[in-house]
Amino acid sequence: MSDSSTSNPDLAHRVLGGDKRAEAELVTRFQKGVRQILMRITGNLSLAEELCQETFIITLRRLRSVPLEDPSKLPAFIAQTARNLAIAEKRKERRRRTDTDGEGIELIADATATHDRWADVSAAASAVRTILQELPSERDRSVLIRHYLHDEDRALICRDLGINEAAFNVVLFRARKRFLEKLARRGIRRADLFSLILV
Amino acid sequence: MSRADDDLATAASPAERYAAGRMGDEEEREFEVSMLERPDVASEVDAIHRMRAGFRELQTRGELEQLLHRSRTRVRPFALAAGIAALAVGAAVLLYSSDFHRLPTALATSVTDFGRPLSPPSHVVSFLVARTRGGREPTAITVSNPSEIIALQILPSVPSKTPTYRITLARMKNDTATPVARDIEARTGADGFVRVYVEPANLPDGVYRLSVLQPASAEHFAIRISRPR
Repeated sequence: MSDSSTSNPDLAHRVLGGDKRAEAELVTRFQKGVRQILMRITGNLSLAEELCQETFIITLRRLRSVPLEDPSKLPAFIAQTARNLAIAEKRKERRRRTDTDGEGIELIADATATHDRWADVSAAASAVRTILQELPSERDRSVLIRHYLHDEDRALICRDLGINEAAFNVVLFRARKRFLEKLARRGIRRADLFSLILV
Repeated sequence: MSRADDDLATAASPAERYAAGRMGDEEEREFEVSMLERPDVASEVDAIHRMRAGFRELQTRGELEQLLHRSRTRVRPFALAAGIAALAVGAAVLLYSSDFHRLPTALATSVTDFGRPLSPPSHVVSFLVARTRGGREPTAITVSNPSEIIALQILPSVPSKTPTYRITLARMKNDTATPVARDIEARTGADGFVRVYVEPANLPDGVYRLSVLQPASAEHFAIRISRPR
């Protein structure tokens, strides 16, 4: 947590009392996780960012006006809000796909978000390329591709490549670690876009 | 790696399972709450989401196959000699003691590879193996003649960028795959099918997994071999 001195119930209570610093703290504390929930459900980085803002707007509006029944469940409340938003957006997206043509969708796309997303994906691709180039074993490269790209079952990959689960986990662990190092070296640290909503 | 790192590294990461959508509803919700309370867990999931995006992007750019099969450059002579020696030992072990050596030639790209006389065409029975919308029921193959050979016309979902596929055959029992034939390399025909032949004589009734492997992917088909009682 960004500030472990304030408990979740305290934070919710302070927001209810109109404390703007508590609102900022709430966003800082939970935004990282909220973004991942949205990313997991939508699979779309720019949409996840957009919905993340919306999640906090809804959460704060609710907390400012009505106290939570069980304030200790603040994280669960925020997670559920994010889920609901993402699922609703997916439904809308499905409808849009059948109701509109490609040109219409292109018109409503946000150029800035698209550019940010492209930069993020490009940086990720570059880091993944370096990891694959550094891995001496074709088997390990195959593990990563089959797991991260093709979503194959880990037991199946282990069987096919003749490795045990511990070795499989080590390959993933090292790749993740190396990936984060690569991104950190490139200075990829997402700006806090969400403090804007509190102004 | 430190000991703590070792423990972390060998344990299955819940973040991996979450990002891959392999958790049940309840577990997923619990994980999400814990992710909100622990930014380090969220960072791990973030890294995984970004890695997946990176892999997809490399595939779109057509770079993955080359990255998978690249050979190491700047190999030192000593390392090269040691590598060759290790390979020789490995090959000897493989040839003389491994299960692979004992596997029958039950898969082939031509009926002549089975090395036995055949009276075509009555002894070759063809089956189509393809991914369907309907579900995961194995392709049913009934072996009515003990000496017949089965021709499988496989339609891979993703066309190969390389000219060949590696085909493997394994028997499935209690969710475990046991290889039952030596792997073979097969090419796509002009009609888009990959044709392989199966010698069922040494294959007991049961479910088998036919794997069609490309450099950067794998596709598995289930087939059920049975004989009339």
